[in-house]
Parts: sequence; structure tokens; C-alpha cells
Amino acid sequence: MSTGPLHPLENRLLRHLVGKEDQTPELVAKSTKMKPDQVRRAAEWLKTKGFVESKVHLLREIQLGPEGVKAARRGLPERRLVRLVFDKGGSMSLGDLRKSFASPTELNPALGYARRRSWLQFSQIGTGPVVEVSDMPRPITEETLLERMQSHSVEKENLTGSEKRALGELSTRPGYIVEVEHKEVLLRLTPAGKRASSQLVSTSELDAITPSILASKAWRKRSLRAIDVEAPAPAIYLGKKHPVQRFLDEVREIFMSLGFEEIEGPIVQPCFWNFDALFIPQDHPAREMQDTFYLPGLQASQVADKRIVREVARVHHDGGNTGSMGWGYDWDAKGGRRIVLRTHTTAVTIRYLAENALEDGRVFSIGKVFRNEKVTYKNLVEFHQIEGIAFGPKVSLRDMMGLLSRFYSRLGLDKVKFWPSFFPYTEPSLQSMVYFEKMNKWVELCGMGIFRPEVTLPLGIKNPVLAWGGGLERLVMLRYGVDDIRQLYQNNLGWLRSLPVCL
Amino acid sequence: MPVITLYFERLAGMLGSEVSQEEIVDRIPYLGLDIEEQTREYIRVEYNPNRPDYSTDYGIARGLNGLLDLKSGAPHYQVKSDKFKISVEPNIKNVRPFIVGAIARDLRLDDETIRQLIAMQEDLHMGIGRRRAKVAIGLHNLDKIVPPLNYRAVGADFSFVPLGSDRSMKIPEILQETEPGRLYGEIVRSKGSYPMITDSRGEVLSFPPIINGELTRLTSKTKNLFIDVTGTDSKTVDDALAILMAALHDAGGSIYSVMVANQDSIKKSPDFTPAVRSFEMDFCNRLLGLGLNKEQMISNLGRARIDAKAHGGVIEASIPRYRIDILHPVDLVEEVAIGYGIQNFTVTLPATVTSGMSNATQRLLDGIREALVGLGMIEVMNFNLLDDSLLYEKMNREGRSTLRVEGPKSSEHEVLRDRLLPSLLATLGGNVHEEYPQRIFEVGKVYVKEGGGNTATKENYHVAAAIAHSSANYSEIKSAMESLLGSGLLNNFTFRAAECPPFASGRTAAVLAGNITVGYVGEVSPETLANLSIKVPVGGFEIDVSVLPKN
Repeated sequence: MSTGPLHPLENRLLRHLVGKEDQTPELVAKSTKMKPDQVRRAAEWLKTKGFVESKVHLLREIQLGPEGVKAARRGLPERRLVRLVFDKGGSMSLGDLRKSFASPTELNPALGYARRRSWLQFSQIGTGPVVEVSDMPRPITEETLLERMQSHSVEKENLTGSEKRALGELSTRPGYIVEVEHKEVLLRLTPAGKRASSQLVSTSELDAITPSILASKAWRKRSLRAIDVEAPAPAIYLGKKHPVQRFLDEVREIFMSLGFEEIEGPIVQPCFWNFDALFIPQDHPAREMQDTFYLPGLQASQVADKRIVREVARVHHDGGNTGSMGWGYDWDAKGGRRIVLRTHTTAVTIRYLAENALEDGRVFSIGKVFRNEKVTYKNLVEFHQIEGIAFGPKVSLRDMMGLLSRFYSRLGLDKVKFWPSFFPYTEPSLQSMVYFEKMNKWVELCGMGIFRPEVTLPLGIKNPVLAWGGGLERLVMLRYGVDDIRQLYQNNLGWLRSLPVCL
Repeated sequence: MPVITLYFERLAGMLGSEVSQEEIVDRIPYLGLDIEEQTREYIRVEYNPNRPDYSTDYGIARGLNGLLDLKSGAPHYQVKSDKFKISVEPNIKNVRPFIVGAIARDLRLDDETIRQLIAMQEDLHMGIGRRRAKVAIGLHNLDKIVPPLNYRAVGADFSFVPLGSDRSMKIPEILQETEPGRLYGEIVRSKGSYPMITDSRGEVLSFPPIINGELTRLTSKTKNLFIDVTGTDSKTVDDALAILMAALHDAGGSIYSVMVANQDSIKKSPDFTPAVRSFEMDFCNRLLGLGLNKEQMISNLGRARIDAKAHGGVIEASIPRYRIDILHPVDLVEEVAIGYGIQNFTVTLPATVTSGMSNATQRLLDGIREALVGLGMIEVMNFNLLDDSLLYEKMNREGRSTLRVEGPKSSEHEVLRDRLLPSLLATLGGNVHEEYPQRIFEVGKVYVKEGGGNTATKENYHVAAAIAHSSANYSEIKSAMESLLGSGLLNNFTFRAAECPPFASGRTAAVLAGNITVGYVGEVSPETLANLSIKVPVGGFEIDVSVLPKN
């Protein structure tokens, strides 16, 4: 039977039982300074291991009854009688004695016992009998037994002959002695237990390294007790970042490694920056309430520099100076001041470009975007968009494909496909797809394009701007094997606790 | 985005030579179409809304013919003149001012062709037609019509037999009892009078943009079609008619123009005159990162079904009328790229060297995350849009949210949060079956109304944390908050007894930096815990990171 290392309690009990027979738990507790309950538990464990056996012994124990307790405390009635007389000078009339003896009902028996023990004599003086005590008698066995029983239980079997006689005498007195039967467990080692105990090398192993042991350097003389190092330990949970945040950090790092600087901006935007500056006509279906969250009752007081607003109005109307035909309608400035939750991070990047007249550069932004959709296993109302833009006098469509390919390859995605697509504010526009080895499938990810001149020129941006963007959650789902997008934001602690930190 | 069904058998007929299914499926994406579904007989593809000419298989076949080198350059459409006339009465001007029309004769309309045409009509209605408000199209059996036609506004008493009905109905009845009436009645109801197209006998062809008359119903026996397009924008009705007539032409019809007579002018429709636009070769090559010569430019445009010629360094393109997406030379650059084949581009990287950099705010937030993770806390992420009752009622706060979105499709996402803690407590409420202790935090934006400005709101980053277990208390959460603040966030701060639901009265403190309140800490009130079915005590704090003075 393989038992593994013993618990310190088992160890102590086992050691204690060596060479001893029939030990009761109480006895063990006393001599080992273990608590009785610890002894019982250790005994149970050792019994399961086959190292200890127990038998039950029936015990008859004698205890003091109520009268016995009184007698033990105050003395036997005959002793008290004799002391009274002795203290009064050695003789008292029976009449005085009746008056002075504390418990009159006991007087007659007391007189009887005392006379039988020859502790007193009766004499007739004058009118009545007189009790005489010449000397205080020495304590008798009955008394020593009573005293002992006051603090210890006594087993009949263990009494000496005279004690047995004394017990017999006390038992005749009502309420002095009661006899109790009870069971007693006796522990002893089995042969296997004896063998096991012989393998317990040291009797003085250290249970734990404590400051006092370190201070006393006791560890030099005593070795450390081996514990069950394979036993399960209680669970504790790591603090950690949310998986979406972790992935976001990874994407940030990739952008930075590719020379991109992070920008951020408001989630709440005027229509002007979310739509109008991006050459999305005011009657475009994407702007309808069915798709976009409007904040009713709010209006931006000023959306941009007056010159910019004028240029944007013109480009919508007839293309202005951009070489475009425009949309052929009168752009309404009030519509541009309506407030929406941004539907893409491009609202932020385009404004950054408009407000910072930069020749060339690369920036990225990651943030929440909003769509008024029904929540399903593949759609959320708000999700993260990642967006990278690169601009400069010489950037080209091929550069954009190159940057995005590099971005994907940093994510471990080396197979990329591009094909033409459409976005209202970029031209040419492409869509991309990447191959996931693990799932053996192509997944559509980022869309991209070069900002239309109708977008850049009215804002004073002279050079071409490459832009690509896509949802972050899709990638997180693929990374963590999640097929219901809602799971990402349910914040189920069981799931969050289960996610690996070291990837 | 719109999706159409392409039958391989029909496509094979249109592509004019032996083209394998594999080739078709392979090239379709390079036209800018997404394949949604594929079977033996057909594929379903999604097209982009800027290309309504792809709303039938005829349009897609035009594109494929180019990319597969079966046909090059713009298709040419012959239009014969017809005396068919539409008189437009002045009273329509403020109702639905524009109408154009055309005739297609000698068609063989099998069921699939009819289905394709109706799907196209519907896509045009939804897309460039803006749900029929801007443009609506009527297809009619020409042989039932006695021209000339009359387009005018009529009163509500006017009655006729609408398509699908067997009795004459008055206009209010049509708007109420027919499905299109219910769907689109809004467009005309406010005007007080209603657009109506009638023939010389007074019979009704159409009540645009709602419904046709029963009179001109199409069947598979119909050979000759009259098409009307009405709307509120002159260019867009022309666009829609051109797209439709190109498809009917490709379907085998002979196209005839009609005359539209306004009070002071007569115009012929359809008009297939191509638009001519130019671009500089250099502009195109720089944008694409290519070095194409003029022959290559012209042949690539030809593959995109656009005619072109070169004048020095300038390419002059002649754009078929059905292409309504070419607004700017840059759109022609994309056509060159498509003709070149996106799959043929090799990739490059920009020559300029730039250095990457993180954002200061994000670095600060990341430091906060690191500190709280170090305290054994798990980060959670909740939505910015929440249900109002969580933010106020369940937190025992007075009032209600002021930043409410219009018409949310889900009531769980109706207001912008102004605190993070409510979501954290809701998270605890959703995790009562998980092992305790639970220690969570969130970093994110909260929103308040602020008149005027750029966005009429203010967005601040907050951090909030909550600790829940059977002996969680004020002192534990205060310790956590102090160690976060002391980790570099705020050097000097004081605590002052305060009231701030959902924290319990007498167990709440405001945290101050000088005189500015930067956050609150406390034990969550039993009432809020009960509201969220949390059965253990919870300590929480929330800090407005945006108001922290710079250390």
C-alpha cells in the first residue's frame, strides 16, 4: 500500500505508540501535547493506512455521588463530629452536640461510625450522656479515596485491597458512590505500523521554517519534515488584463514597430467629421438612424475652421477645386453639426490630418466605434476598430499593400489576398483576406484605400493618404477560439480566469 | 450590401465563348464582387453600392467580358427615336418634378430575365433611389398603352385599379391598403397632391413612387416594354434609366427613345452619351506605384470597359453612361488598377523612414492596468452604451441619463455611461456562481453633456475597481485605491467623508487632490447589492483620471 509522506500529526502519533500497548487517545494527548481531537484524527488516518488498529474496551468507572462530593469537600460526618468535640476540649454533652452539629440528620450515623471506629467514648456524667474524644484520629483509607476521587476518575479494577474495602464501606452510604460504565478506545500499532515507525528517522524534524527557527538556527540540527508535495493546493487567481486589451496591446506594438505613432480622439463626433469631411453625401443610407447612433438634442457649436467648412460644402455641391463633379446637392451646415457616436475611427484620423499640416508620416488609432445593429453572435453595437494611415508625397497603392502585408505578417499571418472594393472616402479601394493555418480557412479582415481628393484637398492635405482599417474583435476571436462575439464582453470570471497569460 | 444571383448557364450565354465556371469564380472578386455562396448552378455575389450597373447578371457579364479579354472598351448602345411622348404638367413641379422614359422592343422575357429585372429595379430603388424617395422606376407592357402620356399631380379623390387589385381604389385607400402604399406612402403624403402617369385615354400606368396600374402588368409573354423613371433629382433619374436600359439592351431589346415635354423644353431619353474625363498618366502611375505607358493605360481601361486615347501625358477616357461612379480622375485610376489586375500588383514599402511612438494617455492607462493587475485584479471590459436603469435606478442615484441615443435597436444600449462602477457591479452580479474573492477593474471612457464645443460632450477616462468576498470592507478597498494612487498617479491626496451612491452612507469617502474631487471610495450599499443579486459585501472605487493634476 502506497501511503505517501505522513502528516505531522500521524507522525507524532506513530512515534508515540512505538513500544506501547493500548493507548487511549486521551492518554496520548496528555503525553504528546496533541489535542485529543488531533489524536483521534491522526488515529483515523493511520487506521486507513493500516498502521494502527484500535479495540474498544468497556470500562466500569466509579465516581462520587452528591453526598460523596459533600463528604470529600467537608470531611466524613464522623470526622466532623470528632473534630467538633475535640475542638471543644474533648468532651461535650449529647445535648450540646445536637445543638452544635451542623447537619442534625447526620448526627446519629456520625455517632455510629465514630464509635465503631473507636474515635470516641460515651460516659454518663450527671444528668446525661457525654461524648469524649481523647485524640484526633489519623486519616483513614475511606478519606484518602474520597479525596482522590474528587479530582480523578477511579477504576474499580485498579484499587488496592484496602481501597476496595473502603469503597465497599462508602458504597453503603446513600448518595456517596455511583458506578458508570463507558467505552474506551485503545490504540496500538499494527505490524505494518511498527515497520513504518522504524523508518521514521528523526524524532525532531522541523514542521515549518519559522522566524524563530531561523533566529535560533535550529535548522542546523533538525532537518525539515517532508510534506506531500504532490497534494493539490488551493486555487488562487491571477490578476490579468482583459483578452481584448491584451490583443490591443499587441496590435499597438506592431504598429509602433512599423513606424506608426498612436493618436486618439473623441468617440462622440459631429456628423461633419464622421461623414461630411469624408465626402459621404448627406442622403447616404449609412447616415440613417437605422445604422448610426445620433444623440438627439445635441449640436456642435463649431465643427471646424470656417474655411474648411466652406470647402467641404463646395466639394459636396460641385467638387470645388478638387477636379471632382461633386454630389450635385446643397450641403446643409446644420446637418454637419448633428452629434453621432463615431461609426469609424477615420473621424479621428482625418481630423488629425486636417489639424496638423504634415508632409509625411504614419499614424494609427485604435478605439471603439458604434453601429445601431441588433446584437447577434457575430455583431455587436460597439466594437474596436484598428486603423493605420501613411501619407507622403510618394506613397502608392503598392506601398499600402506592402504595409498591410507587413502588419499581417507580424501577427503571424503570411498569406494575404487583395481585391478591389469600395468605400465612400477612398479610391482606389481594396479588400484583404488572410489565411489562418490553424483553421485552414481564409478570413476577410481589413479594408483599405487612398483617401479621395474630395476628402483631402478641402482639408488642406496635399499628399496622398493611405488608410486601412478593420475590426479587432474578429482577430481576438480567432486567437482565443471564441465563436460568439458576445462572449468577449460578457466578463465571465471563470472564462477570464482560465485564459492563458503566457502566449 | 445588395446581393445578386448569377446562373452559370446564363453567364455562359453572355460571355460569348467557352469560359469555365472556375475562370468565372476566379475573376469575379477582381471586379470588386464578394462571393457569398456557390453551388453547381449559381453563385451569389455582393456588389458595392457605387456600382448599381452590377445589379443584374447583364452588368456583371459586361465586366467579366473585359477582365477575361473577351471584349475590350466601352459597349455601344444604339438608340432609335420614337414619337412616344410624355407631357409634363407644371403642377407636378413641387411634388415629384422629374420624369424620363424609354422603350425596349422585341424582348424575350423568360422567368429568370423578369426576376433579374425586378431585382434590379428593387436594388435601384433602395440604393440610388433612396427607398424610392429620390428615384422610382416603373416597368410597363407597352402594348397596353395608348400614347401620348401625361404626368401630373392629382388630388386625393383620384381613383384607379392598382397592380394586384381587381377594383378601383382612391388614393388614401391605396396608401392604406396596399403594401407599397404602407411602405412608401410617407414620401407623397405630405405634399397634398399625388404624382400620376396616365395615357391618352386617361388610363393609369403608374402612381409613382408607390404602385403601377393593373393595366400594364408584365407577363412572360410581354415583348415590348415602356419604362418610366420619376424622381426628385434630374441627374439621378437619368442615371437610373441609363443603367436599366443598358441591361435591357444586353437582354436583347431594341432601345427606342421617348420625348419628355416640359412646358418650355423637350428632351429625349434615354441619353447614352458617354462622359469624357481626363487624367495625367503621371498622377495615375504615382498613385498606383506603377510605371505604365500609354498603351498599357489604354488597354487596362479597355479591360475595365472604358474607351480611352492619349494626348501627350494625358489620357482621355470616354465613360459609358451607366457608370455613375466616376466622379473624379482618381476613379479612372482605380479602373486602370482593375484592368491591370489587383492580383498582379507586387507590394512595396514607402521609402520614408518614420519612428513609431505610443500615445501619452494610453501609456498612463497602461500604467494603471499594470498597478491593478499587480494587486491581483482582473480587467473587465464593458460597453459604453448601457441600459439607463443600471446607471441610475439600480445604483440608487437620483435622475436619469442625459446622453441618450436615438432609436436603439437594443434597449440594453440606450445611454452613454457616466460612471464605470455600475458596469463593474453588474459584472459581479453576473458572476455570483464564480469563486470568491473576486477582484475586478475597468479602465474606460465616461461621458457627460457639455454645451456647444466640437462635440457638445466631454469624454473622460475613468478607472474603477471592485472587491467582493465575504469579508470585503472599506479598509481593504481603500488600501487598494491608495496603493494605485501612490503608484505615481497622484502624490498628495486626502480622504473626506462624503455621500455618493451606490456607496453606503457612512462608508463613503471622496478623494481629493487639493480642492478637486478626483474620485470616490466606499462600501457598496446593501440596497444596490440586493438590486444586482450580489450576496457578499463589495468595496469599490472610481477615479476620474482626466482631472488628476500632472505629477
